[in-house]
Amino acid sequence: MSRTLKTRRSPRHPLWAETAADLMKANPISVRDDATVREAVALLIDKGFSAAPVIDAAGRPVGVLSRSDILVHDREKVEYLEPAPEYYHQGDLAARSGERLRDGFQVERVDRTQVRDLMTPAVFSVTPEAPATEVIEQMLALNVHRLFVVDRAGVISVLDILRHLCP
Amino acid sequence: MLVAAKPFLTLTADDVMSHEVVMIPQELSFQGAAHLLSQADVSGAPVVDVHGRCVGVLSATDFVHWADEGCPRGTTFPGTSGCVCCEWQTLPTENLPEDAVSRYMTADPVMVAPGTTIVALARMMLDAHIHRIIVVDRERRPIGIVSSIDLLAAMARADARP
Repeated sequence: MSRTLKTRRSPRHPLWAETAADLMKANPISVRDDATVREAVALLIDKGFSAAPVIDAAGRPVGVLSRSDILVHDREKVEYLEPAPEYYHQGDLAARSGERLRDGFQVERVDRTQVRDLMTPAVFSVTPEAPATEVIEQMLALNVHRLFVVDRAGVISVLDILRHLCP
Repeated sequence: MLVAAKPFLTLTADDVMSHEVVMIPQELSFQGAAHLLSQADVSGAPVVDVHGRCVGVLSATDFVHWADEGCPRGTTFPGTSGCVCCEWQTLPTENLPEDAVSRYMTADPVMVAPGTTIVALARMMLDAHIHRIIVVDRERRPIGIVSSIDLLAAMARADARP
């Protein structure tokens, strides 16, 4: 094993990490605050992520978007136009291009809600130099499962800390 | 406190687990289980059979799966603007199914004996991508729950020792 056990100021529990920079996952998959819900769904639902940091145009973290946020929004907001009455002929429902709706398909209103409208707009962060003990204390005090690392584009989750628990 | 006196790496599930366990009878409805979790202010709990043996776990993730796959389109959850799935209290339970919770739970949950070490618990959470492990006795009856936050708290306690 190439890793070395880093000594800590209070080595009561051995971690393979000394600072927040050691614990963090760099360059996490993030979503822009002006992205649409559809884009966020593609990121979180399709790729199986439970949550992702939200960044602004300058790349600064501005919040967190969870899969739960999207699901709830989806159930609240998705609307369909009334189904066409059966007496309409399918030909009446054809687009100008000639494309027709297939059986069972409905017209959906396009959801233009942006990520910034759904996200939790709170950013809890630590510096890259923060000792690992401080990261743990912050998570416990704030009762959160995720902390941003400022200036390094990183994120630390509870599981990231457990990953650094040495056997 | 006895726990604080033990070296961190010798701590076991029995040392760090929550002893108060809310248990959901498997024949209870999904609606009833959501109400139970809401009242108990917990995000997940083991599901048990008539003998009290653990047969599954119901958590916020199971609600996500139901909402993602089984929930009728157009079902609404008024007043749920935040992380609804972390807070069963925010769910209007009248919208939830009335059939047995065993249909919606995660069967075959991760269970451990009380003597499981803290490092082994951490490894199981990482491997299964879960934040909660059920501690059971020899008859598979739940006697405690260990969360990932419990492990962090144990680290913090170890650091705080003089």
